[in-house]
Amino acid sequence: MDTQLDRVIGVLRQSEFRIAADRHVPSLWIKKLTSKAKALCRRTARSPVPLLFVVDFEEQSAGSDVLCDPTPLLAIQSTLSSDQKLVAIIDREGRLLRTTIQTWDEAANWEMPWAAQVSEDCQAFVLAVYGRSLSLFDSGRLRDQIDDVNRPRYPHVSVSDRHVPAREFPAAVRRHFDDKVQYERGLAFWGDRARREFVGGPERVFQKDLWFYLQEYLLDQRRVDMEYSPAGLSDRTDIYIETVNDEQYLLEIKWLGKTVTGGSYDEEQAKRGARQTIEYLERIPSITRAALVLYDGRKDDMEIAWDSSHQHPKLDLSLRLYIVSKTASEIGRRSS
Amino acid sequence: MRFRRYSEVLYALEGAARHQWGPLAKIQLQKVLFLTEMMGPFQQVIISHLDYRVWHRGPYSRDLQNAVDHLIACGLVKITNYSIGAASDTVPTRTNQVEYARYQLTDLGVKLIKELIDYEGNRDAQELVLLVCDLVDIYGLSNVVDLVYQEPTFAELKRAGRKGHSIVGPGVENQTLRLLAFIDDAAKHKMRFERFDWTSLALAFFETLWANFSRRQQEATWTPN
Repeated sequence: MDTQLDRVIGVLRQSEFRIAADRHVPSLWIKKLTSKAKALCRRTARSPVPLLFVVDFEEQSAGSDVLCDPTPLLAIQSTLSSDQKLVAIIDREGRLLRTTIQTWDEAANWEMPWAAQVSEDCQAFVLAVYGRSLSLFDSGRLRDQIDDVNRPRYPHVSVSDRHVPAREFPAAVRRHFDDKVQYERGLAFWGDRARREFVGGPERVFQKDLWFYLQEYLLDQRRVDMEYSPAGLSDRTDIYIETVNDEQYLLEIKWLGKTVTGGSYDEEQAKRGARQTIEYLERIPSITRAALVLYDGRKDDMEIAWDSSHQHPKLDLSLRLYIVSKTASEIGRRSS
Repeated sequence: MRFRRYSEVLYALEGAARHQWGPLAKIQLQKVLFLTEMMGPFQQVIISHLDYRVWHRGPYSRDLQNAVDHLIACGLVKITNYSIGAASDTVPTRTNQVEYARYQLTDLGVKLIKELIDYEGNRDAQELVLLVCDLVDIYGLSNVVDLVYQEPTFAELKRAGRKGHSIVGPGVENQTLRLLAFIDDAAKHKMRFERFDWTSLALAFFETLWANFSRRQQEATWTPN
């Protein structure tokens, strides 16, 4: 693809443009809000209190700009009990419209599901500020996440050997697996490595990391969405890719093996995944190609016995990725 | 005095006041108005034709400096800091001395802006300058020089070593307009952004400049493992 076009599309596929296009608002509004939220993150990095801002693009307020100065919100926060959470509804300039208090009692890792839930309930654009991280949700979907606002983040413009056209997405999935998953680099999914047990809900871990990777490295993608429901489908697909040439790709992610929380999936889960993906392909004929990505954490590296009911001309079943849990030195010791 | 010709200077200083940048440095004023001048024709906004030339510290217009001096003489703009010293990137000598100055609107200047808008119907130019100020604020005023260095017309002339060459004028194609048209087409036809408005396009243009700058930074700092 033309390098200039790739670079311009790299810029346009950033979250502010995509959110603005979905909401039919100017991208500049989103950019200004996220820019202010990043500055807020830097100032409140040591605060143990997460802040959630729901943006109402319709109304305008004469109130104070709480993204620039969150003091009024922090004052309210300090009066709340541990299960009460504060939501600030702001206008497009970051000025406070009103606040609401919600009860949310899931103590562990609550800020992300809470923000997603609020965003889905209000069908709104939500900025979640917590420590040095900033997450952008839109209508319940995570659209962007900046883990550390102090780390420079470059727009997707670098073209490297990792960048591939979207039609070669299986190669990108394998590269992601080889570079990141196989060595647990940048993501953590082993709950008990020695016993080959994943953490609880490992699918989400694989899905989110792969989503970020594909967003970065698929050259001609128009959108790479997680939990997206394409037209004609009520289910939320794990990863949906749309290219500038109107090709559509689907990725269904499943894991095999055991979790520390007692969950267990075997070959049947892979077969269920294949049937589910075939169902997607039959409901949406415009899908160019789909793939079932299997992160295999079982003890033995065994092929899946697919039969004809799991085959479809557009379905790629070759992405069973067996995760090695032993280090090279352990393997050396065992074999000697 | 033809205030219309000089009104963009007042709008840029108004933008600086809105974003609480403090008094605007000479070089920052030059760069903000350079970007405005390059983007203006895309929106059919006529900005006073200022003869920008390739200079060793980016695009520079003597016309603009003269305009600022006139506005100071009329009491519409004031100098808040003034010093003479060596350019920061050179060894100080008697010949490479640079004037540093910072400018701010006076009360009279603020009053005149309102009259200019009402009397001359100059709102389009004001909106464009304020939009550029908005965008510069997002990327940081301290980065405005880095952004301007990525402006394609200037970058091409600089690469060709055309020091002193006019950037805006006959024989030089405004590459910013080409880039804006390219981004607009990519947004509307490739990305299917149906309501991609002018402010979004201006943001995408700045983001492209920033992306080019970031890429060069990455390339400059890249070291093999």
